[in-house]
Amino acid sequence: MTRNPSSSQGLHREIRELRARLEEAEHTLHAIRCGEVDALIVSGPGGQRVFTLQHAERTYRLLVENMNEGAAILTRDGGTMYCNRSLAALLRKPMEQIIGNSFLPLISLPDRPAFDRLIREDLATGKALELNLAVDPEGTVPVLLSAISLEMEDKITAVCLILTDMSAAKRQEEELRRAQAGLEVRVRERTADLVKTKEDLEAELKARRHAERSLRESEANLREAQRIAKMSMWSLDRKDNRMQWPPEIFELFEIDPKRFEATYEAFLESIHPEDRDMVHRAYTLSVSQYRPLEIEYRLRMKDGRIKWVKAIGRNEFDTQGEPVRSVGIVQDITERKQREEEQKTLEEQLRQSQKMEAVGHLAGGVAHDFNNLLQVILMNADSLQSELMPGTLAWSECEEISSAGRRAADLTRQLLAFSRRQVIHPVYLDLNDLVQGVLKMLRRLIEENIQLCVVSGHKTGNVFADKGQMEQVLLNLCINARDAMPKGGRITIEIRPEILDRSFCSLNAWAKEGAYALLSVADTGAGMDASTLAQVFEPFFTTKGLGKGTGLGLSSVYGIVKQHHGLIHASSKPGEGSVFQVYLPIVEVANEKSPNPSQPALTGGKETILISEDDTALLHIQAAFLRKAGYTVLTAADGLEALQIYERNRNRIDLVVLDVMMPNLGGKEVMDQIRATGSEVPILFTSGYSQSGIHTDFVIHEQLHLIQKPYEREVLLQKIRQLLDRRTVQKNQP
Amino acid sequence: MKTRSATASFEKALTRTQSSNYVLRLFVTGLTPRSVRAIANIRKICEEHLHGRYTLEVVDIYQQPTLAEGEQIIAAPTLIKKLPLPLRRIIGDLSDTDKVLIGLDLRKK
Amino acid sequence: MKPVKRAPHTPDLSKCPTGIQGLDEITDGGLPRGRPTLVCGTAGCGKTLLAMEFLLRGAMEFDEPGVFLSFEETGPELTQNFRPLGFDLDGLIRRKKIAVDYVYIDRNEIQEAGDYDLEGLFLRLSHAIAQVGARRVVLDTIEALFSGLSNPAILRAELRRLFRWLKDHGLTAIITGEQGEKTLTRYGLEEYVADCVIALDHRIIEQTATRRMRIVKYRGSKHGTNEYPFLIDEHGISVLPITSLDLSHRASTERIPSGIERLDTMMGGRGYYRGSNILVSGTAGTGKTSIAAHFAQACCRRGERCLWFAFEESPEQIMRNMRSIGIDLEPWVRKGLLYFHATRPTLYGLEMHLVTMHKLTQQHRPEVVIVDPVTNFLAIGSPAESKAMLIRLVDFFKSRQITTLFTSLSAGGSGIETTDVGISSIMDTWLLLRDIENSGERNRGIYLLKSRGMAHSNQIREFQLTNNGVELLDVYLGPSGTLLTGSSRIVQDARDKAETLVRRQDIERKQREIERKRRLIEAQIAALRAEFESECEELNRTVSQEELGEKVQGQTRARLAEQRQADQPSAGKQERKS
Repeated sequence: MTRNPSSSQGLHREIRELRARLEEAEHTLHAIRCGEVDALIVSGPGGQRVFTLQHAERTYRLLVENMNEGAAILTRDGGTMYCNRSLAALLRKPMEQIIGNSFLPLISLPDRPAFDRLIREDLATGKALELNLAVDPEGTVPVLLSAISLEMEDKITAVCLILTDMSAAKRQEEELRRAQAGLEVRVRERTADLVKTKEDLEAELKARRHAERSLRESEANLREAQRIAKMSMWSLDRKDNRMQWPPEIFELFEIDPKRFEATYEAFLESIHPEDRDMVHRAYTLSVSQYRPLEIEYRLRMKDGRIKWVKAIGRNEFDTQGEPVRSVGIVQDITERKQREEEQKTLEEQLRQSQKMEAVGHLAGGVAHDFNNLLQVILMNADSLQSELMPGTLAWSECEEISSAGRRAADLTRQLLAFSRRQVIHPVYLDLNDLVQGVLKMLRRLIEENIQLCVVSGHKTGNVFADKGQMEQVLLNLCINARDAMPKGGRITIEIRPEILDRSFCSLNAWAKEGAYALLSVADTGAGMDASTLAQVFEPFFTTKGLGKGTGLGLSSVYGIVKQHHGLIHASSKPGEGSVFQVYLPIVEVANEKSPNPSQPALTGGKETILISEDDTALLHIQAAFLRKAGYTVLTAADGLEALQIYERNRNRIDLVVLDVMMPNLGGKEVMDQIRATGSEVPILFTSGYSQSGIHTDFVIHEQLHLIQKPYEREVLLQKIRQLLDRRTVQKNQP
Repeated sequence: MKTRSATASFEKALTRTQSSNYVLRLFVTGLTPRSVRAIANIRKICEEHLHGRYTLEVVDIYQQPTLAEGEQIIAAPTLIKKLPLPLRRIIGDLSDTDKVLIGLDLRKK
Repeated sequence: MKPVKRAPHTPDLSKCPTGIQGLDEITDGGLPRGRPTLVCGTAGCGKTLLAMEFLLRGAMEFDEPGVFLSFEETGPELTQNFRPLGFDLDGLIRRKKIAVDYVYIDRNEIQEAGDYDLEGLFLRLSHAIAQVGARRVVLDTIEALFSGLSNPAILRAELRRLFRWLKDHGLTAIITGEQGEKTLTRYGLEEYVADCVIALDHRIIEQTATRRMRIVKYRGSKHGTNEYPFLIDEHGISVLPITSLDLSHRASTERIPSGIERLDTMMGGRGYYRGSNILVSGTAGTGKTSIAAHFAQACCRRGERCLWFAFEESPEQIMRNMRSIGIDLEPWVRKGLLYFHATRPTLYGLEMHLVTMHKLTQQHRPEVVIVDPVTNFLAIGSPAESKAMLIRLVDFFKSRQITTLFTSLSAGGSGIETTDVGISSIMDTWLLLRDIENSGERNRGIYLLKSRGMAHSNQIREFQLTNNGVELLDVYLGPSGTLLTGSSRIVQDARDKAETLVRRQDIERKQREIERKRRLIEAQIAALRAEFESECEELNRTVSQEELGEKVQGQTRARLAEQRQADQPSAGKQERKS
């Protein structure tokens, strides 16, 4: 390629060398420029010379950047060339807004002239100044500012500032000053305290003298107070075992001081026998364990009364730790104890009644479901039986079904009664009459070995009650009493007026203030313990042998009484017999006996009956039964249909039978619609159990006619006939 | 009323920005001679040519490296003329006043 | 002291693996660790990609975080560019494995007014490095500074400072540079980066884009000096070394059958060496593919994998054709043991094929590779290039102990093997398939030209493509001593068979005559015996005639006549009748 390789090579080499030198020179120059070289050593004719570069401070840069003091470099005219992080932090200002700008505005206004003077002075040796920096917003920071002049490149003279934050130091100084001031204040205060203490002492002395004087008076007062509080002080000398009792204690213990040898043992004697050990233990323990004594115990008076007392005491010991004396008070707390007992009883009774309520809801719900079923069973059994020859086996079996069904119906009726879901027809009645009316039946129920006493004749006033239900109550109570005395005894039935006042009610949770007719049934049987008594009204709770009782008798009594807004209370003790007391509120209305409607003959008729029932099975059996009795029967599966059928056949229909609870339209609504058309057609309701039926609070109104499911066919026939006949009578009286 | 006054103040601000206000940002490296020179030079130029109508911020990229990144700083010192537009970068110690003035659009080329 | 083994390269020069396929091989381990490497080349030659892949693989595979200082593309642009290559740049940035800083330089915005340095750039770089704890740095491309700033003296000084700074911080760096007119880089970056220079090239040769890479300089390290083709595909860069740097692959003594029993017999009864390569050459239609198919089938039957590069026919075509000669390859394809890769060779450049074959080989890890036909694909480049490539390929397969079968299509008429000769020199076994013309017919002959390291038959064998595949026939030397093939062979056969038949017919005829004579004699004996007996009976009859009477005599004679008829041969009977 090259014609003259040797010279070319030489040239190349030279170029390379030159380039290398140039490179080195460039490099060095640059390093110097960048401040990366601290010193240059130049070898020359005069030997080696070392040049330290004035501004080569790369290492120092980091030092300045990171030191805690603020640092700034200013030109002589006050322009900021440099500022480190600490200074920016001190000024609470972004660094970029500090550098390049005048430094003067960063000094607090009053200090500016001093600062201005400073940086214009000769600062070759450095000067320091304490001043405040202006800090946004409107604050100041005290600093110690050191300034020294700095010769920079190009002959620029700069001022190097180091700013030390003095706020901490200032703060400390301030605190110190404050502390000193505080100290002085405290010395003054203490002196004042001492003066005051002296005055106080004098006053106290005076007061004490006065107190001593009044002490004697107050001792008397104390005694009086103790007496009122039924509180008496006692002491027991442990050395000679003597009790020191004031007269109040003898009074409390009801002991004649003259006949009482006041020793500890004698004291124990005076305590209720059941509590004696406990009291003795407490006294002994309080001594052996160096504890104050606090104990409540009973006293039994000579006449058997019980008093509750509370004793509080402490023991005094000699230097050997031997007990010397016990002192204390004793207080009569009988009343408080009684109140507590009463409270407990009340709570118990409340709990009990709540429980009964819950059980009642449950029982009622079940009973309702049974009713529809039983109605179908009973009607079918009756219908079947009527087709059979009496005396045949099948007939007897039908009879069995019917009687079992009726028993079941009784049970549900009682459940409903207990749960207060039985619809009642209350009338005004006198309990004396009621008892007399049932007496005959009672005598039949009660065995020969039981004597039946009736204490009646007290004028009690009327009660508003369902007669049948009340009879049920009396019957159940008597049967219960009878069953409590299998070996014979006496049942006492008593009717008397009773007023329950507030004080009585406060002691008896079950009671409510008011005037009542009391029906009480007492027996002389085995009695019941507390736990049995607590459960006596619960359904299915029975003490009778399996299969002998349903456990519903007293429950239904309870329910009936409650539904009549009455009260019932049982009291009993083992071996002392039981007493059941039924309180029914007295209603001041003239004794107006409801006439007993004559039982109409058990016959059918030729009239047309519209019957509405949503239970299809029941509807069919009812319709079939009524048709068999000669009636023309129209059927409706619900209220709406019943209404439509009635609309179409209103001239034909003589009677409407409505189920109370039906879909689409309830019985009550159907009746209202029919009545709205001006029709006076008699309406008979049938009902199992209903919450929102035709009655309010399960008390049926006069004009409404209702038969309770399950009913017997005869009852249905009777009721229908009765209503039809009454209509006829009304029609005949224009 | 309110709207009008806001508009007015906005317009006023706009006028001010457009006609007069220079926003300058100088990026330097600590206290190197170049930096010091650049600060001194720009202060002088600003006082002489932009008196009272400029904002100058000086960023020490040694101490605030993150500020350099967003501003696409390569060389130091770099002066950025943020306002008025167009944005311009003047690099160097700003010792060539003529070029600085050209860069700041204060003198035609 | 322990004897120190001679290290293959300068011991104190530690290498930083790039993770780029092939690059670490040609650089003998990677780029110089803790030093800058210059990657230069024309626009679009893949500098940025190489640099980025170096960073990404560093971050992903070697736990060396990196900083990408981009002077040309913004962060989002980079992310977008690298997403198709399967690199999740954003994810790596989020995980603080990679930091990207885009350095924006616009000449129009910049006014130079006095002395300056590039401390801003330094700061940004060191900030980015600190952010991810970078061990690798890419400056792409720093030359942008030259176009943006006008003071070359400052720039040069600062660049020198920059590279020293990178070294001082122990950062392995790639600096990219645009190729200059006559210099490696336009601004002479190579002056600053003295340790390692890699030049990339992107040329169009014979309408095929070819990328090449050359290690211009690698101070203190052994490195390949050739131009290495490289490829950019969906997985980044793959570089292919022309030859493996050493030839120390293991030579196996294990044999694997060719799939044609009688061909194995020709090779000492045991087939090819495992890891060897076989050239099957022949003119069109001589059955090269069938031989290959036999081999593939045998391979798959052993449960080994076979990779078949089909450069002429589609896999379906091959399978259909092979099915017609009773080789069903489809089950193996379905099983995944046989994998076809079919392309038109001309679709890609030479190095693309190489790379593809490399890749597929690495992917499928076959025991057997078939290249069918290798000639097609050699036609892409110049003969020298092709041969070089083939050598690389052969070495590559050998180094992996893969047995390779190349088919080679000889141009009909051009004598044998002008092309073949070139290839065959690197082949272990060469099977030549030839058409043999005799009696105006073309027939197939197979000829084992060479087989390294084994005793082998050197006879030409005729073979047929039957319903059961390739069948080698018995060696047959005709009367003239030349190889008889085809119908002339059958005529000979027929002639032989005819003679045999005639001879056999003679023998049979003679045997039948003997039999006949034997029967004749037997019949005569029987007749004589019958005559004797009848005479005896006649005598007896004469005796008893007087005793039994006429009736009985008649019955006895009738039964006798019956007996005689059954026992006598027909000839005798006829005779008797006549």
